[in-house]
Amino acid sequence: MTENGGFRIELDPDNYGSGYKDPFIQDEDKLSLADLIPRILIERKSFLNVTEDNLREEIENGEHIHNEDQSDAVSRIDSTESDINEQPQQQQENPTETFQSQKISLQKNINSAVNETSLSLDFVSLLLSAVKPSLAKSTISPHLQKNVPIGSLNSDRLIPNDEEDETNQNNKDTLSGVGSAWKLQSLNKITNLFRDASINLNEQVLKERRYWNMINLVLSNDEALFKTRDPINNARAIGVKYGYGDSGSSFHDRGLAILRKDNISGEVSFHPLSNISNKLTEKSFKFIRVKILSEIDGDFMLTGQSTFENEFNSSNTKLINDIEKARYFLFEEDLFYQLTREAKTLINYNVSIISNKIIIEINHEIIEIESVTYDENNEDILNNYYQNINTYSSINNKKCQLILIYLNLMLCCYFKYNLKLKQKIPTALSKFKRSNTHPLILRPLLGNIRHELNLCNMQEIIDNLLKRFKDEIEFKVNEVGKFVNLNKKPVENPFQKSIEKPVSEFKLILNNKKNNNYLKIDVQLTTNEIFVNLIINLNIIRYKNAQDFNNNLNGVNVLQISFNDFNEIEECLEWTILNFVN
Amino acid sequence: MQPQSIALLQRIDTDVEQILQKFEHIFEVARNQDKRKELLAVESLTIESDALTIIRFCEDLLSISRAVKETWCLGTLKVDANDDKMMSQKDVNKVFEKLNNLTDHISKFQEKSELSTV
Repeated sequence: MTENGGFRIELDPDNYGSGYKDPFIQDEDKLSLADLIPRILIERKSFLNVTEDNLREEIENGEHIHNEDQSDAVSRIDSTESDINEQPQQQQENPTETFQSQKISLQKNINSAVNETSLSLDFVSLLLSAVKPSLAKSTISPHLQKNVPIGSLNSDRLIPNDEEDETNQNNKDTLSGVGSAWKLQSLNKITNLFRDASINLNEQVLKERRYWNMINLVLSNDEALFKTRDPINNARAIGVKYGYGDSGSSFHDRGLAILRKDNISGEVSFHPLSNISNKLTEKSFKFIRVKILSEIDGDFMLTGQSTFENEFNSSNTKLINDIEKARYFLFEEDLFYQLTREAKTLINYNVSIISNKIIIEINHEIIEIESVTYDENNEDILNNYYQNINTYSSINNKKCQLILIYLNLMLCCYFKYNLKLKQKIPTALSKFKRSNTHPLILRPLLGNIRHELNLCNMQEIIDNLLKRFKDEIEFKVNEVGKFVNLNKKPVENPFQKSIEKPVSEFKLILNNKKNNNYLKIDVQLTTNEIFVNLIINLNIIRYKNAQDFNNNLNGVNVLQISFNDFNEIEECLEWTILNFVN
Repeated sequence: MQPQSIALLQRIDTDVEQILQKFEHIFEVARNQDKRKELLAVESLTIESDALTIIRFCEDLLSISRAVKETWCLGTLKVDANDDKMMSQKDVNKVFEKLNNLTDHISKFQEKSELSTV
């Protein structure tokens, strides 16, 4: 440090005696008059105070004071010239000399200190080299490294002598005292820790037990559980799939819910999730109600209404009931969605959709299928007390209930169909089918009602005709085969009546009394895929005599034609029979 | 045995072993024989850290039990033997009859004459 000149020494002038002359202190003898007069004024305040006697006296006194106390500034100014001249000369030589000599001695000291330090550092490095050679190598001086082999110095801890036994014994006593105190403290601390932990763990075990008991309850209710995360705090949770997503439903809501654990009690609660981005939703429960309005004396009156019968208390735990409830309403929602989907295609057939109502008008009756918000407190809506005022206003109640059951059944049937499609080996056809399935709920309902009506109408027409021509014609056979398409055995699908278009047949065999000709009339009532259109296939064969008819020989095909209208077929039949009679 | 269950069993074993070891260690360290001050200080802290480790392992055991339950509830597939059975023809016929009756009920109208007498 000293070599590169980075060392600095600061000088304090006081250290070199008060006699040292500062170059900035002006020599009073050389001051000009302009400087001198203000100075005297500052010191003496006024020239009035300055008299010759005064000054002389002061000079005499000042000499004494100056000798006694050199630091007094006033006396210094007043001291004699000789005094002032002598002292600076002595002092001017002294400071430089002392400074030089002191600087040299300081340098010497510093050098020796540096030397000592580096030696001791070297020693430490050498000592260290026995334990950590690599660390020592980087700190040891090149000289030592050259002359002394690394690791050649060793040290051992000195064990205190036996002579100091007494103090040692005292030390040990206090030490063991302190030690056992510390350990006692620690042991006490861990006892508390253990106690707290055991209480805590016990509580957790209880919570876990409650939680898993409830989960197990859900599981034993044959629910599908899956792992998920709670959207609120992203914690791990168990979800339940209560909907029909895996059972063939194509509804947008797959029916997922989370079984949230209450962190305090360990109870499980049920929270439905929306299908979009797994957020929690508040479900508004809606159920389907079927109403029938009949035309009585020109007015439409309510003659039937379905009731809401589910109480959601099949299980004695709230959790299971919650799941059942959510599932029930999800099904209802799904059903209404599918119904509206289907109703859209039926708008041409007196079916209309108004907000959350599907209205079917048929044969002086209106069937209303309505999605109603569920309010468990409002029993009036659920049980429609006020509606059952007289016998006529509730005459169709049972039918409404049956329609509701029918709708539910048909949705199940649709689910089953979807599920079967899913289980098939995927081919282009089955894939197409899967993405284009549509439920058959409303169409078969409407179709069957219409078919029944058509049958009545057809029967009426035939009866009228027979009445008109009973004099000329003998009716051999007059048969009605209702739903002949259902007669195939064995039955493969129990829902056949509702998924196949209905086919009914009328068989008439006429015998002309005059010429003994036979006329065989087959009327087939059916419909197309939409279930609602009327299609009548007419097939008429004429035989010359009974023998031909019995052997089914030489028959002449008079007519083979299809109709869409009752008027046309009535005319056609009339004409044919007239032709046959004459 | 499934690898998952083996891993769980191993975890239980190591946890129990660690708990016992740490517990033993606490007693070992609790002795106070002519040890130096520094050692005593360190030992008393070791006791505390051992205790905390034991508690942590106990919590781990609890989480293992949770994992076991979770696997049990979520990892198993319930198969009902009755599900596979096809519906017998008799049952099909029964449902068929019932549905046909239901449809008939629905599709028939109330006699007009009955209503108009109101």
